[in-house]
Parts: sequence; C-alpha cells; structure tokens
Amino acid sequence: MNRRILLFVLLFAAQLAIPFWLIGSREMTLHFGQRVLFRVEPVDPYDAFRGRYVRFGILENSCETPGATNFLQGEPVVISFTNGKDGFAKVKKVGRNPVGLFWVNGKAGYAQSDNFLTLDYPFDAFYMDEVMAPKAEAALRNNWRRDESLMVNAHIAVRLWRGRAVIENLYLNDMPVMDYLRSQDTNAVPSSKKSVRNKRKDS
Amino acid sequence: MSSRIEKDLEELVKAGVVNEKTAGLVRAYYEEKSKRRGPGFLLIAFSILGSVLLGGGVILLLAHNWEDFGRPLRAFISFLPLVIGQVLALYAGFAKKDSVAWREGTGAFLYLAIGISISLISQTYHISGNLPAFLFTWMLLGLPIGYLLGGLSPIVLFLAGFVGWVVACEDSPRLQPGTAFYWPILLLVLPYALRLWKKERAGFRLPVFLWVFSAALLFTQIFLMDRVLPSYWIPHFAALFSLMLLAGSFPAFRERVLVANPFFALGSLGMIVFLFVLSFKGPWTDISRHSLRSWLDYHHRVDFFQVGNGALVFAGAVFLWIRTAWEKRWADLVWGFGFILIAVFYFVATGTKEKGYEIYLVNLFLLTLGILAIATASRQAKIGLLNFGMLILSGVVGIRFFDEDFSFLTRGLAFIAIGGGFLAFNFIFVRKWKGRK
Repeated sequence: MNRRILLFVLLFAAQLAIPFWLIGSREMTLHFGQRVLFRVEPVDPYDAFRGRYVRFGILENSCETPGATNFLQGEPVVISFTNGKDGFAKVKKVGRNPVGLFWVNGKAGYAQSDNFLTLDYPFDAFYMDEVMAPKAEAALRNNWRRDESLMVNAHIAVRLWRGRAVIENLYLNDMPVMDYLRSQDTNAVPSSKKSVRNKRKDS
Repeated sequence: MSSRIEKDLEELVKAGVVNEKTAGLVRAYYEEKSKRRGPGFLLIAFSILGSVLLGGGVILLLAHNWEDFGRPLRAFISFLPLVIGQVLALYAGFAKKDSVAWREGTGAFLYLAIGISISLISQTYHISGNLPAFLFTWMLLGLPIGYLLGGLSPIVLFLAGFVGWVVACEDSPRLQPGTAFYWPILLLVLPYALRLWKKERAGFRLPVFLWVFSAALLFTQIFLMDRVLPSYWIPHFAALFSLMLLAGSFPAFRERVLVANPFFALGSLGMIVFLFVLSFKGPWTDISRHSLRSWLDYHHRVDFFQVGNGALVFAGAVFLWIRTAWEKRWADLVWGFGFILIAVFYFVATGTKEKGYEIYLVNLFLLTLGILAIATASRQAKIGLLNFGMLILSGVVGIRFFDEDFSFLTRGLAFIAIGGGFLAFNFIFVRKWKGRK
C-alpha cells in the first residue's frame, strides 16, 4: 500500500513538474531577459490565423554566413544579435556558439547561396483572445494589399535569456496590439472607410 | 435477473420440465451473478464519457484565451485542471478502489488535464511549440495513470495520442524524437494487456483494449508505409496481416467470439482485401524500378525505420507461423502462408523483368483460402465462416470474369477447370456419403 502511495506521489510530482518548469523558465526569461524588437510581417494572409493566434514571420530572417551550405536544414544554431540604429535587432552571427550579449537558440533554414542562410526562430505565433485575434489578422492583412494608407507597422518585443525567447507583446503602429484594436473600435469606422474611398478617387 | 429468464422459468415449472427447487436454484444463481457484475457497463461508459466531455469543455473554455486575467492568474489557472484531476484520481484510487466507474472516469479526466495544463501555458507564454514533442510528453505523463488506477480509459487515450504522435512526427520529420521510438512506445501498453489477459479475460475491457490496440497498430503502420520506398508495402502489409491473423488464431483467441478477437477479424479481412488488390496486375508492374535495390543505387541510403519496422513485423509473422506449425494447426498455417508467398514473389519480381505469373498464383491462393474456409465451416457448422468463404470464392470468380489482365482463353479454360473441379468434388462426395449410409 505504501509503495502504491509513493508511486502516485512520484507520478503526480512528474506531472506537476512539467508545467512548473514551463512557467518558471518563461518567467525567468521575461524577468531577466534582454528586451529586443523585431519587425514582423503576416504569414500567408489566408492562413494567418488558426482561430486564436496570429502567425507572423520575422523580417530579419536571414544572415550572411560563410559556409552556409554546411548547415543542414533544421540543424540547431545559435543566432546572435546586435541592436540596429532603428532600435530593432539585427542578426550579427549565426553559428554554434553565442557572440555578444543576446542570442537565441534557433534552427538553420535553407542556404540561399554559399554564404547566405535563412533562419528559423523559435517564436512565430502570438496567442490572443478568440474575438480579438481575427481583428488583429484583419489589421495585419492590409499589409498585403500594398495600400500605403492601410498599412500598419508591426513588431514584437521579445525577451532573450540564455538562448531562450519569450514574446512580450505584439505592437501595431507602435501600440500594444490590444490597445491598437480598442482604438480602432472607438474610431468611427465609417469615416475611416470614407477617407479610404476619397484617397482611391484621388489616385 | 432479467425478466425473460423469469418468464421462461415460470413456463418450464408449469410444464413440469423443471421443479420448484431447481427453479429456485436458477434464480439464486442469476441474482448472485448480477450482484457480482456490479454497476454494469452503462455506468462505466457514462462516467468515461462524462469525464471526457468535461475535459473537452474545459479545453474549449480555456482556448477562449482570457486576456483580461493577466499572466500570473493564468499561470495559476493552468495548474487547476491538473490538480483537480490528481485529487479526484487519488480519491478514486484509495477511497473508491472498488468502483470501476470512478477509476475509469477520473483516469480519463486526469489524462486530459495534463494536456490542458501544458497547452494553456503554451498559450499564455506564446510558445508556438513542437507538436510531436508536446504529444510525446503528454503520453508519457498520462500512461502511468492507467497502471496506477487500473483503468482502461487512460490506456485508450494513450493509444489515441500515439496515433496522433506518429502522424505529427511524419508531418514534421525534422522535429524528432520521432518514430524511431515507435515500437518501444507502443509496447508500453503490453504489461497492461497481460494484466487484462490474466485477471479479466472474460470481461468487456479486454476486447475493447484489443480493438483499440489493433486499430492503432493498423492505422499507424498503414500511415508509415507511405515513406520513402514505393512498393515496399507489398511484403510489409502481407506480413502485418499475417501477423495479426496468426496471433488471432491461437486457441486462446480462437475460442472467443469474432467480435472479441479483433486480431483475427482485422487480420483475415485485411489479408483477403489485400490479396484481391494484389490479384490485379497494377501493383506488380514496375516493381523492379521501385525496389530496394534500385533505391540504393540512386540514393545510397536506406530509411532504417522503414526497413527495420518491416523486418520486425516479418520476423514476428515468421515466429508465429512456426509456432502454428509446431502446434499442428494446418488450416491456420495455410491462412498464415500469405506473407511468405507474397514476400517470395516480391523479391523475385524486383530482380527479374515481370512475367506476370504472380497474379495467377495469388488467384490460386485466394481460391484455396475460400475453399478452406468453406471446408472448415462445414466441419464446425459455422455459418459466418461459410459466408466468408463463399464471398471470397464469388469475389475471385466475379472479378476475374471481367478482368482484362487475363486473356479470354485463360479465363475460359480456368473457369471450366474450376467449375469441373467443383462438380467432380460434389459427385465424389455424394457417392461416398451414400456409400457410408
């Protein structure tokens, strides 16, 4: 009987350990990590959402890497960054060891040429409320229409700590996505539509 | 005690077939039996269904993603389903130890709660994740519930998760651990199966387990066959169906009704359907182009899982076939012969230019199985098997009549020969029978 209790306790401890570790490591990253910004673009606008999350691609997704063809697709790599002049992260080096202060464990994409490698980041989705997610999608989708007046600037803030990355927030036109969507809701929608129509007439 | 038996008893007493004393004994027997059976299947089924629905409802509620709760509160809530599930499971495992309904229900809920917790955390921290790894963790944390609580539902959920994991692994082959762990993971349920076999062979849980296990095995094997080597499915499926069929025809299984013996049901049905497919020319054409040899010539590497998995299934079938021969069960031996026949054809066909003799022999083998089924059925008076045999025979005859893979001449001669054979057999049989009279 005692052995049975022990087995139950061991199993339950293991079951609880996984969520504890998942939460703990993410909280540590959010707390101690370096804050880095990435510009993002929507991935295929018609499949950008699967119900309740925004899928995005990082614009800074390739790097000049001598010997790029030596990396197998999907091979784990360390991606090191510097801060660009515009405040967004720039890939400094891709390799097996980190360089500088902030870096993330990612994966090699495909080699575009002998010395140009695309990158796979360990973050590509932002989970949202099921009501708000489609609205965020609609806002981002405008970026595909090449209509300057409707384009939004999208970027994410990520915390990097010891190679782990946790997304802090998604920003549209420099506002946190939820604030942005709320402001869109309060703005009178018809007037914005009208202005678009006028602009189209002008052109 | 059911009212039908009560009614029959009254009638039998009235007719004087059974006296009052015997009727009393019969009543006592059935009352005792119904007591021993406990609350019954329905209660257990409802408790599992209820738990699964409850778990599913929680998943849907949490998927709404309650932005307003803030991160710390959501992190805390992530633990709730898991802790509630654990408390319930403890209660069922110790205080309600004798209630199958409790153990099955709480086991199912706790199993689902693990997945709920992990995915809720993924949502809160935007972990886009790795589906195979997620399913893998979930499966390994969930399976021991079945062993500790003794419930079947976590085992069934594990097998469902296993199918999902195999599909997810194939979908993103670069995200390993991957299917190299296929057999070790699948066989984790083996001790549970042995426990069921030893302790409740007559119970309803064993057939349910066997069906779910067979379905998971068949589905994943079929799914994995799509990989790398075209045409390798021919010897592999033959071995897989033979393996199931031979396993299901051991006396301990054979004495069960067909519904409780999915190995035999799926194995024999699968084998027949498969042989019908192979009785056409299509699958055999271009085999040498798709064979292992030419694959190695082009790619200089093998998919170790595919070849290893195939070899394992084949070795298992060979082992069971030898056991069957050892026990002198000749009819089963013929039924299980398919995989050897097909394997030989396959390896000969990969080396030579096709001559098309395979389909003749496959047809002959199908005819043999059909006649064998009818013969066995008439000896053991099994009407279902008789129909199965007739179905095989009429299938072969019907399909071949219209099959343009064979010339009119071949078909005509074969039909006449087989028809003549049947008539001759009948003639001899009837004369012998009359002679014996």
